[in-house]
Order: sequence, then structure tokens, then C-alpha cells
Amino acid sequence: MENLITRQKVPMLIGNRVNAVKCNICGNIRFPPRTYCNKCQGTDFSSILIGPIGEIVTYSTTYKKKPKDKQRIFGIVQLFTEDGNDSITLSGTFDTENFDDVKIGKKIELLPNEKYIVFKILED
Amino acid sequence: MRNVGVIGAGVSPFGRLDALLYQEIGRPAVNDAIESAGIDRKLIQSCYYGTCGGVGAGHEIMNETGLMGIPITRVVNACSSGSNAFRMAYMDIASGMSDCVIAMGVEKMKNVSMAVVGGGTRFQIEAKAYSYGSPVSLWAGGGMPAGFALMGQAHMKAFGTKREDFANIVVKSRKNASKNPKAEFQTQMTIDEVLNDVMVNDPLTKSQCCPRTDGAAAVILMSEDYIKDHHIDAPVWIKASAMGSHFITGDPSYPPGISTDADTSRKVFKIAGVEPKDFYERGFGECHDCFSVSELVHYEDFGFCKKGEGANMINDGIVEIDGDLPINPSGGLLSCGHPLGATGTRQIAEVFWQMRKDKEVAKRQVPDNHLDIAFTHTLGQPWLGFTNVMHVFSREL
Repeated sequence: MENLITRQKVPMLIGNRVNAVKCNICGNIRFPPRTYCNKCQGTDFSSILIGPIGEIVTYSTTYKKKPKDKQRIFGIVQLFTEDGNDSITLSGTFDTENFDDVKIGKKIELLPNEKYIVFKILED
Repeated sequence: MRNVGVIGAGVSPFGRLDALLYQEIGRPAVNDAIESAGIDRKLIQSCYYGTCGGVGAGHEIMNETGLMGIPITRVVNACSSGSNAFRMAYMDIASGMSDCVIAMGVEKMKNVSMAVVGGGTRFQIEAKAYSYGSPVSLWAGGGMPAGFALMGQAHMKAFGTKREDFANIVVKSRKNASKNPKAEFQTQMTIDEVLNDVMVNDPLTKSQCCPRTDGAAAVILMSEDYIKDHHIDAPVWIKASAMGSHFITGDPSYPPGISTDADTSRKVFKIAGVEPKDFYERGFGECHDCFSVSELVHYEDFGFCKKGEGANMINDGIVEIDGDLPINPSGGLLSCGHPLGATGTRQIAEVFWQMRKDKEVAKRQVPDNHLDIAFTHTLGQPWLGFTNVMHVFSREL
């Protein structure tokens, strides 16, 4: 059974960047990393760090919550490599409770966090 | 209706796979099926997958095998889910809508509640309501083993069948599965070990009940035109597909057994233009041996022997791999295990490998003279009803 497990035991983030792999055959990026490419089924990869800067694609918040819970704003961002040649879409929460701070297209920065994906909204 | 052939098959190792994701169980089966078909995966136009517990498992597996974008349909029909998915794939191609389709089954049994496939408070209340005035007990809340134990007791009373007859089916199953590296149970058992195993529902001991198993199986189907266009060698042709259903009370006038099996087998054999005796001369099959009792009554219900003579089939060695009518050369559900959604496609993979004399079945190969025709059969019980699916295959069009 062990040989059927395809998840790689590696940290999801290294600092404030996503720890992904890029297929050397077709260029597909996998995050979280697996032992194969889901597009071409190849197994030849290179490590690739993505982030920390990205752009908000969409966002929302949930009002139906327990009173003691924080008003979390969540969304999807497009996160870029430092050279801007590659990117992935990633979901997470924003480090603000103010809905007015969040806008589609705004720049974000991925924050180092061992448990959750959290984005800091950057000033224009 | 267009002619349709099976051109590839893959099965993941069956067992307790709690640590694996659906995609990790299903991907090897799909990739093996594509590899054995020898086709470019881009030819696959549609997917039907059987599963009772795996909501979205098909999408997950198709995404992991580079097939995302095609139509993906989940089929839920209790223990017949996999064979039902195959039937829908067949209909998709036979109707002219598609030319190359994958039929898959996947199951992680810890995600399958018997409230989904049968049982559960609400269903039991409804079942009891229906049982009033019926000559057939509705299992008194004992679940699947209880139902087949009742059938076994009735069979013993009506025909003098012995506990040893049922136990012998497990001995045969384990012998075949000892040559199947993908079966959950690969160790042989003696008749004494079977009889002295933990009693579940008299006369069924534990080893006479199929295990709740995780696993996946996939087969690739193709139209005759595509098979010719893509120069596919030795497809296994689908000669007939039939499905039957009955209410849980069954037919009270029918002797101990499953009347809808008899009805469906007559239907599928008629469509295929074969008779039960033809399988003695040149065929074999995989049937739904969820319990030892069920395999024995299937022999009778399919017309392979007279009602009440099922014990002779096992005791005289007729259903052994080297017998006159090999049944369950894979080891069947009793030894391979029974991932509800995957069992039907696993059976079809076995038929495909046997008919193609594939290396997968080299150690349990059915003799040449029995490879002309084959049947598969699943018996699902979505609590208040029986639903069974049967197919007949042939090497010749």
C-alpha cells in the first residue's frame, strides 16, 4: 500500500513562499507536490518556490457565523514566482476584517504560517 | 445498436486502504487500463464510475489521470454500481454518442454507510412496514449476512444441502485467490477451517461472508469502428447487457434463491444467443459470491443445474478453474473482497484478462476451450429492492 501513496512529505510553505514542483516534460505546476504530473503522468520534476507576491482574483466573507468567531475574509489569489514566469492560484484568508480593504486586482503578500494560508493586503 | 468491445483493463490491489486517497486508489487502475489498451488517453470521451461513498471521486481520479474535461457520471446502485457504470458506458457507445469510454469503480468502504446501500433506521422501518403479511421475513434487522443465512437454511431444508457444501465454495474461492496477487485474502483454507471459523449467522461463518474492502477497477470500451480505425488487437466483445430488479420480498413462490437472477440470466443469455449449456462447453464466468450461499444459488438460478442441485456443482469440481464450467477464477468477492462500486468492473477486468490470456491471470488461467464466451453478474441490494446486472462477452464478434 505504501507504494501507492503519492503525497510527498514536504513542508507546504518555505518561509513566505509556496513549495511546489514543476513538471520537466509539460511544465505543469503541482501544489501540493505529488510524485507524478496529473497532466502528462510524467515523474520528472524540478522544485519551484512561488510567491510571496500575488494578486487577488476573487473574495468573499461569511456572515452566518457564531458571534464569537472573527469576521474572516477569504478568497483566491494568483501567486507569482519572483521572475514572474510562473504562477498558481491559491485559496486562503486575508489578514483583515475590513471588507473595504479587499479589492479584486489588489496586490497581496503570502505570510509565513505553518497551519494556514494567510495573505497580507499590500498598499497600492 | 453498434458493436462495442472492451480493449483495456486495470485493477488496483484490493484491501484495507484507509491511508490512501480516492485518487491514489483509482489512478493506478485507470492508468493500467489505458496502458493495456495501448491507446492515447486523449481518445477517451466519457467516464462512468460506480461508487456508493465516493462523492466526486471520479472527478478527482480523472483530474489525476489527465482526463479532466470529459463528461463524468457517478453511478450509485449498491453492489451493482460498478457493473451499472459499465452498462451505461456500453449504452453510451452502442447508441452512437461516444466511441471510447472508460468505466470505473472505486470504493473506500469506511465511507460507505449501510444506510446508503441498505439498512439504517428509516429504511428498516419502511422495510418492516412492507413485511407485514409477507411470507418472507425481512431479516429482522440482521443485515446482509442474515438475509443470505435465511436463504441458506431454507435451501438446506428444501434440498438437503449441507453446511459443508457452502463451506466448499470458500475452499475453492481461496484456492483461486491464492493465485491472484490483487485479492485481499490470498491464503488457502481447509473445509474444517471454514466450518470452525467464527459463526456470523448460521450457517454462515465469517469466511463465508465477503470482506468490506477498498479498491478500484477500470475498463476501456470502444466502438467497432474505432477499434478498426485504431488497429486494436483482440478486443473482448460485449454480446449482451441486461438488468433486472425485484422488491426485497422476492417471489414467495420461487424456491430458495433469487428469482430476479433467474429472470435476468434468461434475458441476457437470450440477447447473446447462448444457453446455459453453452458455458459448459466453451465458457466461464464471474458471479456475485457475496456469501457462500449466494454463489451456490446462482448456479441454480442461472440454469447451470436444476434447482436444488447446486451442491453438486461445487462438490463434483464442475466450477473449479479446470472444471467443466469455471466460476470465479479470480477468487470472487469472498477472497478478492467487495468494494461495492468497484466489484462489477473488477469482474469485467478478470474476464478481459482471461479471454486475452493476459499475464495478469497466468497462474489462474482458464483453459483455452472455455475462453469463447463469458458472463459477469452482480447482485445489488439498495435495501428495499434487488438490482442485478449481467453481461455476456465473446472473443468473436
